[in-house]
Amino acid sequence: MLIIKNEKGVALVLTLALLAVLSVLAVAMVFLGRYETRFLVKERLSDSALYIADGGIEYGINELQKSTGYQGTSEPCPLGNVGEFSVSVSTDDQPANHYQITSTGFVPNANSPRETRTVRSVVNIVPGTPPYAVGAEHGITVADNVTIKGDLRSNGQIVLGSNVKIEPSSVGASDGSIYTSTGMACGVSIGQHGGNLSMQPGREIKSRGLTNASQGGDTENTGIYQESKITSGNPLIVEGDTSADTNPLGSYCSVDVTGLDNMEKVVYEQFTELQSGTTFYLSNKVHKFTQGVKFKSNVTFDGKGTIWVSGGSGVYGLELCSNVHGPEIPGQPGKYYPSDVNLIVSGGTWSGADIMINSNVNINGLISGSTHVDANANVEIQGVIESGGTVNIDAKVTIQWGEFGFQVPTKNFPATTVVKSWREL
Amino acid sequence: MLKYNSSLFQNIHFWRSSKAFTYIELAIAMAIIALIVLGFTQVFLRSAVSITGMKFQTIAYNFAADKMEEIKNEPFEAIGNPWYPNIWGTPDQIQAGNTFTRNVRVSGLESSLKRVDIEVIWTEEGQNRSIEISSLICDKW
Repeated sequence: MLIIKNEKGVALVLTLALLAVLSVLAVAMVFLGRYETRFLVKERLSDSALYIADGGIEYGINELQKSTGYQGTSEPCPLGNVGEFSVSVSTDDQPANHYQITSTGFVPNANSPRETRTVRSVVNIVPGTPPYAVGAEHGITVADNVTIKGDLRSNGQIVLGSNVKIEPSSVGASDGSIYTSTGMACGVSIGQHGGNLSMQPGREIKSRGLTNASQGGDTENTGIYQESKITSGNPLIVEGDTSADTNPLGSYCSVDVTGLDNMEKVVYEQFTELQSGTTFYLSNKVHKFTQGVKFKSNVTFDGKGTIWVSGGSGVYGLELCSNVHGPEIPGQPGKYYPSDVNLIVSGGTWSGADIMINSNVNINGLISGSTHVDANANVEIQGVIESGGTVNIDAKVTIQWGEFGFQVPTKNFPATTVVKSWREL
Repeated sequence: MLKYNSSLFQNIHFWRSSKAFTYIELAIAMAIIALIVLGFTQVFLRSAVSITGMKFQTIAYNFAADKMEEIKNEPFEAIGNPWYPNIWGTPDQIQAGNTFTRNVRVSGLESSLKRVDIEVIWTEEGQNRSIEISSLICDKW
């Protein structure tokens, strides 16, 4: 063990050591202060970039509300004196009408940013949807064994066949009622082929026409006829209704044709016939047929879009033959996704029907004709069927009111925007 | 003196032979310490000024961010009223060891899109300082 006998001079050594330690501490404190200053500056700029990125999300939503085909900014957009943002929009792996917006905020600019922040939001732009599952200006005919989930509404007579079920569109929804809006001859005729009508409790059948026999009502063609055929649900029956529920709708052609024409579209100038077994690529566009179109059997619709017939003449303006559907579900041979497609006929002269949908068709969208729409057997529709004239629904058809698979501009029913998520990347 | 210095370098018991520090040695030591202290004081003062500046910036930023959040939570139609469109709103102030003045401007870019700029101004070391944040708000259907 080393023993230092001579301790003189140790004070100098200790003083120098202490001074050195204090110096190191002082220098460290100075550097710490500088670091904190830089950190705070960075934080301030970063927070500004976050507000700019959030502004980009709002910008994207605004553009999507104008056109759901919006893809994003081609180059960064300046925002005030503070910075710039860039926006991209994607629908990959998103449900129908959901858009993933990614926005990056740059301070002070995108070319040489001091700070960047990126946020991502998913928004659901719900197209304006008419409040009925089936609606027609001059009447609706429903055949046997049909299920309708949602309201039936017409200014004309509604004729219901055997074993018809009227149900709410979803669990907890309040729809599933029947309304007719004009005179006595435009009521509801129930159980036309001897069968029954099934409804849910708390629903109603309302008609504006008085129906007692002394006034000529309560026949097959007048008033609310054969209420006794209602087997379940015990709906409220109101004859001579004067409430707003039976106000006549101005139009059962709810498509805003001008808005539709302004969407990204492909125009087909001649009558077009798609051959069996082909795939029609919708590509998030409106496909405008000025002379009508026919899709033969076993046609697959790929993607989302709208088929629109604007004019022409013949038997059918828009005809879907049997087995028309979306792509095959992976791992489930013979099972197919519904087609995310709107079928719209806004003009032309058609002796058979504006829209003819044959058997085994599965569609998620709006089906809108100007004079007559016909849906044949084994058709499944999630959306709305409407007509400026009449609608005929044949046996074993299921119609469920709901959100359309692809945006379609409507005149009287505003769309809604719901922000589903917001997070920073 | 030479003889003394010679013994200084030869004699390992130098301190034992020293009687005390000379005035010159004390003066040099004090001068060195004074220089060191002065240098550190300068650095500390500068840091203190910088930290105060940062404190003001943080207050100013929070003052601006509070307003931005408040505006974002308002209905779209109410944003900017009653001074909409396109003018600075009535400024408001806070005192936090300094006076911070906040200006808000709402610009209607489109009928469904508004730009909000918020600026906070204060005085520091006799100079005007400011920060500004901006964002967009759209009218969601």
